[in-house]
Amino acid sequence: MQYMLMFYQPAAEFEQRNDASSQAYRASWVAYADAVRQSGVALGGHGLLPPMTGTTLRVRGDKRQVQDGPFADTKEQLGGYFVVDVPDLDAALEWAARAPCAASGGVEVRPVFTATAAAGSSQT
Amino acid sequence: MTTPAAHHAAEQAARDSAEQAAHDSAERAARASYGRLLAILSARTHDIAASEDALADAFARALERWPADGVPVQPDAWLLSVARHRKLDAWRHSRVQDDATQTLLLLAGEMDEADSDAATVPDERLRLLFVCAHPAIDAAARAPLMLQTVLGLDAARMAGAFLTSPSALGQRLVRAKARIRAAGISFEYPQARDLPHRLRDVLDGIYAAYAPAGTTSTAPTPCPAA
Repeated sequence: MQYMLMFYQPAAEFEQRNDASSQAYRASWVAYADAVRQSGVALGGHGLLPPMTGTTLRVRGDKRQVQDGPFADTKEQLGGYFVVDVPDLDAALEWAARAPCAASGGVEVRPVFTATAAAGSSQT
Repeated sequence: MTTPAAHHAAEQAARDSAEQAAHDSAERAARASYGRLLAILSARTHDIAASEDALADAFARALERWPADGVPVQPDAWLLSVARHRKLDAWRHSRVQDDATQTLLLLAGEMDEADSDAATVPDERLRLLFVCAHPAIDAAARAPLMLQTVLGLDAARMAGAFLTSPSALGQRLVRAKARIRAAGISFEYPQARDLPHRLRDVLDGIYAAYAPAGTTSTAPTPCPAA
């Protein structure tokens, strides 16, 4: 099954990325990303720039609304993701647990929508 | 000397008693084997709801067939075989082609397995209990889900024991079953690290099995073997 691992990080961690004194922080992510890629489970993934660099667009009727940033005023923000192909949820959670932000923020693990998954969830 | 009328009455009585015996066997099988059969049926496809439907069909068919054909030597194996075929039929009807292929392969594997050990019906109930205790399932749904899958209790019967309404509990159970399948929760035993936590939930579920009998007068006592 394919899962997206969404890495949610506290605001302080986004600042640490460019901070010369936080080598350990950067090294932990490099090591994790290498481990995921070398294991062969990764189908893709990226780190994202901080939420303040984001732009949100909504179309309402024939009006286009563009605003800066995401609206959610939460302590933790999406900082990156991986899509992995693993046998089951437990395997995906295992990879999620190894992410550096698991201890400081959180990781959401969501099955990826495929034709098979869609048929499965519509049948109850 | 028997008159035709007496002969007829004797035949009728024999038929009635055969029907009663078949009904009793079916009820015994339902009480003793429900959870075991459901655990086996769900193990491959992870689709508990579809397995419940197939099993209900199999019991209905038993009540139809057993009075006429006699109770099979191995009622469990008979019920399992009928339920598997029902499930296969249901999938054939409901699936789009390419998705169905994968599921049919799964079910075909299950059938092969069934042929090779037709004489013994393994007990996978503990595995099913651990699936119901997975931390990715709503904590409030775990114990009722165990009672439903292993003992076959319905939401109406359990709602009182869990201090909720039958409709709310029913919804919770439907969501939990859909989630087990959609989230890809494994039907394997948990790793040693997760065992203590999930074991506690399993024990909660087993403890709860004795609560419905005590709190509602209409609930049957759970079968001790379950």
